[in-house]
Amino acid sequence: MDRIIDWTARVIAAVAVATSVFMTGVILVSVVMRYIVGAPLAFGEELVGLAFAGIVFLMLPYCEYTGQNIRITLLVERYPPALRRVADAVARLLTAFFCLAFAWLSYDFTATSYQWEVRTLVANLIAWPWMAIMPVGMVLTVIVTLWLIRRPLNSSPTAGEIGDLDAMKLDPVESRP
Amino acid sequence: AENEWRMHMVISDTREEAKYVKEFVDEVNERSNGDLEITLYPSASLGIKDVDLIRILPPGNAVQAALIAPGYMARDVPELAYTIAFGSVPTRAKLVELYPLLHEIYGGIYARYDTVLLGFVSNQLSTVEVFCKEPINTLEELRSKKLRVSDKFSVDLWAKLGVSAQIIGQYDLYVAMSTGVVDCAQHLIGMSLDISLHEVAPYAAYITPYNVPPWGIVASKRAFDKLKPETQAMLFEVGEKIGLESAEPFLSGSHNDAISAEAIAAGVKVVEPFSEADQKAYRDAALEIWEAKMRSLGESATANYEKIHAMAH
Amino acid sequence: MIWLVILGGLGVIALTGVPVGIGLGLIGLVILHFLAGGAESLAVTAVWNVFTDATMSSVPAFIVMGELLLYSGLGRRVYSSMEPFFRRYPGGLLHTNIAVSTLFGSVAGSSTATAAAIGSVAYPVLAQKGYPRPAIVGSLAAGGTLGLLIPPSNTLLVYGATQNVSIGKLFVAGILPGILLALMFMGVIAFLASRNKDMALRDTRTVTLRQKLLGLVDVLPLIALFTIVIGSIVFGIATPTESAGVGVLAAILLGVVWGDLTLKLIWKSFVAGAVAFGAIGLVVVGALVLAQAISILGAPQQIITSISHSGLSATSVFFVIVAIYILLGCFFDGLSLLLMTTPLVYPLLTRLGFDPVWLGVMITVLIEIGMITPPVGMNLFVLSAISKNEVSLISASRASLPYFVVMLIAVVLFTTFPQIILFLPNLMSTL
Ligand code: NA
Ligand code: NA
Repeated sequence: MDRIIDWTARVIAAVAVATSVFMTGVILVSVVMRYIVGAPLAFGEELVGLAFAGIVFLMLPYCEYTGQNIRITLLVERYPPALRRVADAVARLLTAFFCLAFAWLSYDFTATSYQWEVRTLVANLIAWPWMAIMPVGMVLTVIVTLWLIRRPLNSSPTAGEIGDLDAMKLDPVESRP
Repeated sequence: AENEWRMHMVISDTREEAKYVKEFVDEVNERSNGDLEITLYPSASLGIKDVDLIRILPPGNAVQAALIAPGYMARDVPELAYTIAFGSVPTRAKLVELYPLLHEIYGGIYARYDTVLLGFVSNQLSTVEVFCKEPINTLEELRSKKLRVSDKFSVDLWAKLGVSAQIIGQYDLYVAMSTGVVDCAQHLIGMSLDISLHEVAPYAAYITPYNVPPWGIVASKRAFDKLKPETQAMLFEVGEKIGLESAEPFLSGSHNDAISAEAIAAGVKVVEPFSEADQKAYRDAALEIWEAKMRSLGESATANYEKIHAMAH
Repeated sequence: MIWLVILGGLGVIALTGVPVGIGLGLIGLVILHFLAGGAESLAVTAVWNVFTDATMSSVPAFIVMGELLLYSGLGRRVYSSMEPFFRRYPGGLLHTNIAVSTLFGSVAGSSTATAAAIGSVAYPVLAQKGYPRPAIVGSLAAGGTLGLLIPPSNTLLVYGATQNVSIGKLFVAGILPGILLALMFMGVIAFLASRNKDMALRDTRTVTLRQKLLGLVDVLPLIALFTIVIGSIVFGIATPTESAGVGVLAAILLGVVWGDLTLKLIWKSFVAGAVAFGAIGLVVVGALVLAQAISILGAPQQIITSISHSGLSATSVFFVIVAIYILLGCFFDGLSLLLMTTPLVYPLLTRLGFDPVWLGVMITVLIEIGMITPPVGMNLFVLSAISKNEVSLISASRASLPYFVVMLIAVVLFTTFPQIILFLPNLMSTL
């Protein structure tokens, strides 16, 4: 199960990174199109917006898994170990609760769009698959945080490198130069 | 009061149309005998976006009423947005003649989403201009320029006329124009002062009437159903009265004239309008795009298109 | 009641160490559910609208641009070669953060984009050079705010467009206060460094002028990069948002030609950018949910209406408004705050005789202050994420405190001497 969680967090994150590469590409093509033919991709900005939302929600499970979220640790750092464990578990539960609630609400938002056959304004893309990234990212985050509930927040297992799918072992992210 | 409503409105309370909305709210509050108290939140100060209104209104819990421009509903209810499109009605008088039919059509669509159309407020702006850095008033000249528009409908429309247009947001326009990302912009002279367009593109040439549907005063059906029958009847009555009142200055163009004069005083340089032929080419293109769009939206939209087209042309 | 819920929620965030974004989002959901009649579905629409409208989309690209400079080794070389020029001043290279932010702010219209662009380049290098990490983040967070004041500015654009004030005049009005604030920030750095040896990092080795000038060759790639990014905007090739994408491409080309960039390192740059951005994204989700919850209750409108009926003098009203902006700035991101408050504050203050152009610049300064105050301080989030949490949100806000104080002094200064803001725009209208 550890391996499945690890693998999922990394694969989803890799999709997010690929999306950000794609997003940069769309911007560049749009700029070039404007420069050469005076007309950028009409749907460029819309696609960038969708990709932007996608990146955030696809990165959430990985950020939770690797403990990279922004937190205020001023007080908890000074707790005795037993209390610290309780605080960390409570924090995980709160995280799971929020993500579950947001997953439910965003699922509803997505389902309504599916039912109404909502399309994006410029490119006329079907909207719900993009919206569905919200509940999917949130549900995966719930699974990750509940799985890690007994582990301290500050020593989360560090997933292997994103995109390096062969490296299934739990080795730390290479240090920055 | 027995029922307390929050009403969302995206425009600020200094906009001409807001006067009529405030009048509606004041009269309803006064005449409801304690059954209903509406609080108006201008400038979108409730923090919600028009595009979501058709999702937010039905539960009736947070926001019970709103001033809605059908054009903003394109994502969730394209039929609302395109029932009347840019250029699809030739004159202001024709548009006002269509109001009863429009009330029926829009009311029917809103009803599908558990909302009630109480009345109209006419848009007070009535002309669309092309703003450029240099005096330009022919399609021929525009073909070698980079033109900014605000939506896909206009991109398609200008494409038919051989002009490549690009979508740039309202807030990016000033910088885009001053750095030369675009040379021209399709914009209303009545709203050009808001974004200081004259500072970067002072020359304005008239191209087409701004015949968009009136704003709708729309309520949540669930909240509406809680009102006494006499309050409900009164809401429609006040709604109709405001609709008629606001249609008058729209018809005469008095507000549009006044605000154009203000714009000219501030530095907008009005050049000769586009030629009759160019204006007609624009309207023909608009009609084509409008028809295609409405037909693509299914049976009910197609039927509405045919009704409106028959009456308007 | 609502403020009680917020205070309690902040307590939970501090006591449990729950991610800030989760904590803020939970407060928002509680308010939406219990105080707004079960309107929690607004949480989703608020987030979806902001995420998809492309206003923030340059942030991830600028972070990637910084990572590319880092992985290619260009970033380090640039700062090494600039160091000899700054070694004699207390605070050393920290001053470059302000200078480069000012320069970058003259093309970018956003505070967070400026903090992301400069922060992701400067932070890793300066950290490696031994500058105290919180001090680096403090200077970057403050420097980033200059992106809003120095034209172009998204805040002034939106203010001008919604209140019908000349955008040209507003832009011109931002120049002097922007430069003045930049100088005041440098003063803060010099002051702090004179009292803290760790920050001073003075180097006594002698470097000849020849060595200095030769070293400058390493600055060329960075100059080239900023020329390309800035040039793409100035020459109308790209919008400010798109310029971030141009910057990424330019950084890749420069990194491959001049640095050690490989395909693998390019991928890693995108990974690092996405991780930092995911962390920022979660906080933004929470902040947006909370902002939506507060505004759906009409809370800001109520506060400002009660002030307008209070019968206070014009100056007192203004300083009460300042206090409200600082308070609300703790909980709202800049754009939400601006859209929510200006329609209420503008008529109130202009009726009392305050100049509309002056007011626009003042509101911009107040919104800048909100960028560096916790718990919702966008620049703090961005930089904390860029530092990979080496600098926590708390120590980032503590390090920003001196700049916060200086900005408050600036508010008083600009109120006492409105000419600082109005001199240039008035000159413009007399010409
Ligand atoms: Na700027
Ligand atoms: Na803040």
